[in-house]
Amino acid sequence: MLNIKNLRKSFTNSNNETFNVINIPEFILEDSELLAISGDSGSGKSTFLSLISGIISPDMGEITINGTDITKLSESKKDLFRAKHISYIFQSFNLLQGFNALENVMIGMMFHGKADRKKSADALAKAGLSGKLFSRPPELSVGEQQRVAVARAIVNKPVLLLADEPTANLDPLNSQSVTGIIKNLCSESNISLIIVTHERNVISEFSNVREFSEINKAAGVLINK
Amino acid sequence: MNIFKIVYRNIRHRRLSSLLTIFSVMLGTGLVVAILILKNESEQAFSQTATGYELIIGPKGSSLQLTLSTIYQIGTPVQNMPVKVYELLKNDKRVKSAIPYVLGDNYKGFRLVGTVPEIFSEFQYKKGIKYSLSGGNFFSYDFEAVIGSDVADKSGLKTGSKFTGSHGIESYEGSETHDEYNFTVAGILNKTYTPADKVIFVTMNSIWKLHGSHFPEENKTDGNTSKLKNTDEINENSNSITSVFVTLKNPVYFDLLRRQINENMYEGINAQAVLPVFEIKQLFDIIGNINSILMVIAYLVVFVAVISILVSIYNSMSDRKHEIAILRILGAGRSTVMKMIILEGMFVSIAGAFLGIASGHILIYLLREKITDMAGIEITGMTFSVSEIYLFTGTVILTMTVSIIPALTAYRNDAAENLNRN
Repeated sequence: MLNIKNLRKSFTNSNNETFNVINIPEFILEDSELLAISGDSGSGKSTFLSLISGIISPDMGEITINGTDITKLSESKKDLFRAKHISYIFQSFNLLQGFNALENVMIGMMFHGKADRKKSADALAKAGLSGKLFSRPPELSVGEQQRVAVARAIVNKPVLLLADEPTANLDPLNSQSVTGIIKNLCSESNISLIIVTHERNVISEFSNVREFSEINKAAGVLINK
Repeated sequence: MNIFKIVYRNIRHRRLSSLLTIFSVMLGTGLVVAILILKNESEQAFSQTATGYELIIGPKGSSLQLTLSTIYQIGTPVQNMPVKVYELLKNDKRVKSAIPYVLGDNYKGFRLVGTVPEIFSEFQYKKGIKYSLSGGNFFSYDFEAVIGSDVADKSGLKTGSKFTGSHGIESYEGSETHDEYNFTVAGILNKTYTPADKVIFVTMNSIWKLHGSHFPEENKTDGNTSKLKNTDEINENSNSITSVFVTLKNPVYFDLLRRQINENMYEGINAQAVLPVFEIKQLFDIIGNINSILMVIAYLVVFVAVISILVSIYNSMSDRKHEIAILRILGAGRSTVMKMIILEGMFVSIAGAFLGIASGHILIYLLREKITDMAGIEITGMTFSVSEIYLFTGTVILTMTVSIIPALTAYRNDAAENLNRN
């Protein structure tokens, strides 16, 4: 499903120092595979997910999702590909504050087809929010906000769900609940999942766990000055 | 949910800022529209009112003052001239009709105009249109009055009502009244949308009697009126008139008659002949310059309002980087995000320009009576011009153009960097 080869990404800081942040010789994720990746803060996990989603471009390498190398796509085709095939869940929920829960989920559908009200309401019901369809983010608890983000992520039935520290802002009870919802919905809909986390209780929910340092060989190596 | 709804909700989300921006556009376009309406309607009203006759003959002096005081009831007459001028013109074979005007008194600020019955049978206040009555009759006797429609509406005078004139063409506190003479309303004119709506027409004899009492006592307040005397009875030596409207039998006489009068070669009389249409054009040439300055100021206000949209959207961009990044990760392309910002500017300007045009009309409509009172012409606020369409589309296009600047900021937004801001 996801096949990465020779992926590299470096960043230059304000002192004109270039650091190699990502160096992944190979990475494979199978269809419907649920993978938890653990790693220290600043190790490049979020950059890794941003590269897979196509919102940043690598310096070199291939990222093939269901046979399409997204690094070869134009900017607009990459946007469309992301809208159709990839979803993202963030630590900070990233809900649009001016819109209610239902609208936030519908916006998630809008950019690759028709925003379906019924499908959006169903996705929120699956996330346990059938009674909160018209609540705006400030009216929801943090756990509920993250469940809206989960509903928004799965409503399109993507082939790949990327979750970047999705429980970092939640209490243990909500953390367990949200992790359970993500796992169940991905399994139900055959969605492949990469969840990046440093929380042990989340990692313990997954049988398939890898250390990011095993995947990424770069770890902030200074390339030049 | 679609892109338009997202844009609309974004505008609503920043309600205060959006409303202030819409208000500034409304103010600018409203000002332009108000000026446009005043310009167009006044030009139209002034030109139409001066088309039913060819010349105005009056005493020497300011030709514009003569035109304004005679046709539009604005300002004071130049001077008076002997009634002989009217007599000569009336009997001139080139003249189709000559209608004299005598100004001098008022009733509650409505001017009394002394004239002859031919003003109702021959005079055209606009090309092809004569005065008609909504009630009663035209005057047949001295001290009978035919009142304009606004006079009837505002003074409460009805057919058969009696009133007393006050000295002077304007009403002022403590002005002398001619209590010894009562006027009786014989008829009320249909609305003409000209200054005549605010005029009380009476016979020339009535005005002269008020001031000079050249006629016998039988006209005084015993309730009787004397049969209208024919013009032969007019005392040529003592009585004066303010002006004469002249319509010619053939336009070929126009230049000669005008030259004769203006060069004092017309039976030795000392008068001037003015072409009202020309005087009005001259007036609008002067007003036009002031109007242009006002228009420039108004367009500058629109421009500043459009810039305020740019500033408002641009200032909001730093707060919206996160929101734009979310949309990008959900699959919105850079061009879609750019489109949304331009649409936002477009929506704000459409709302502002629409409300501005509407408020410009409403403002003038609400002030129409005051303006009509001041200018002596009918202003409705309800005439629409093609310039308003240009103003509307121009404002929207200009806003969309300047919105490209914040839209480019949105286009260049680094989604990855802004996603973890909260």
